[in-house]
Amino acid sequence: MPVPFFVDETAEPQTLDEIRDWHRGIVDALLGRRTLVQNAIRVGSTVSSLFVGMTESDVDAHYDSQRRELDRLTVLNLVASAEATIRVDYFRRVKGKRKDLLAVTYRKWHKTLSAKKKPRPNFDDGGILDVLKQAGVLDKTIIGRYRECLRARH
Amino acid sequence: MNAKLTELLNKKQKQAGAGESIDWDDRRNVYIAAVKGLYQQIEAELTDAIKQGIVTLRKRPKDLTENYIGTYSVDDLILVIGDEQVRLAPRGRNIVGAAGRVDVVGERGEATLILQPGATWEFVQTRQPTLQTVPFDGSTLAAVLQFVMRV
Repeated sequence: MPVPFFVDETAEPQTLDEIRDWHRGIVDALLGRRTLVQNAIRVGSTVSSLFVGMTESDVDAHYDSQRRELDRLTVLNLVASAEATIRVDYFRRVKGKRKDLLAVTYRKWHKTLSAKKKPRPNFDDGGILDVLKQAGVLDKTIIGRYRECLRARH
Repeated sequence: MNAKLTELLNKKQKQAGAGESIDWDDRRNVYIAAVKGLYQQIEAELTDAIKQGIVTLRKRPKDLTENYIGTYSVDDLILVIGDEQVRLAPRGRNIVGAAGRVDVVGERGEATLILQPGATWEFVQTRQPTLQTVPFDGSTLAAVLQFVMRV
């Protein structure tokens, strides 16, 4: 029976580098806007009505909050991108006939899954990450640290 | 001095060029005078109520510290109305889109007064989607008090 391949191979998920570059771009834009607004306090130039009446501390708090939200969203993007890549890799190895240790370990585990679970196996606890860890092809601390990032999704 | 350091400092000086001509002491003094003017305006509006003992006014000095200006003293104005207090709290001169700000803090909420050019105070009704302000006068004072005080 062919292995169902539910991860869309034609989709082009953002790479980690692309997400990092996007994050840097938005951080630059935020810093630029923050400087503009702070400068408006000194020289009295016009800015969005959203900021009218804000003190410098208010402006700082506003942009600190924006930055925190941006960082949070970026972590979510990075985590999702990594998960998508790992899932794509998982199905490639399960589907293919490669003999490498990870492919063999994945296929062996995949056979134990119920028909319902096979199209979308668990990822974190008792899922693909555990199998990846057991295969020993990747530094276990990296998997552990990645798991810490997964908490950002909840 | 290191050439790169000199270049950086010169660049920063140019970026801050507009700030050199600003008289921060004057800005502070104008703001402090405008706050006093606002308090006098409120006192004038409430003259009858004060005489009748319905409203009591109290001032409480405090220090404000702002960039470029430093630390200066200004008063909070406290209106005791019945069993409620409403505090007018100056927030500072360095305000976006205005020449100063005073918050009106009641038990139910807060309102913002901003100082516009010409030493007129305005009550900020909304910021978004558009900024809406109304000049501060007797009727505005009533609206602001209703907004911040218990129903």
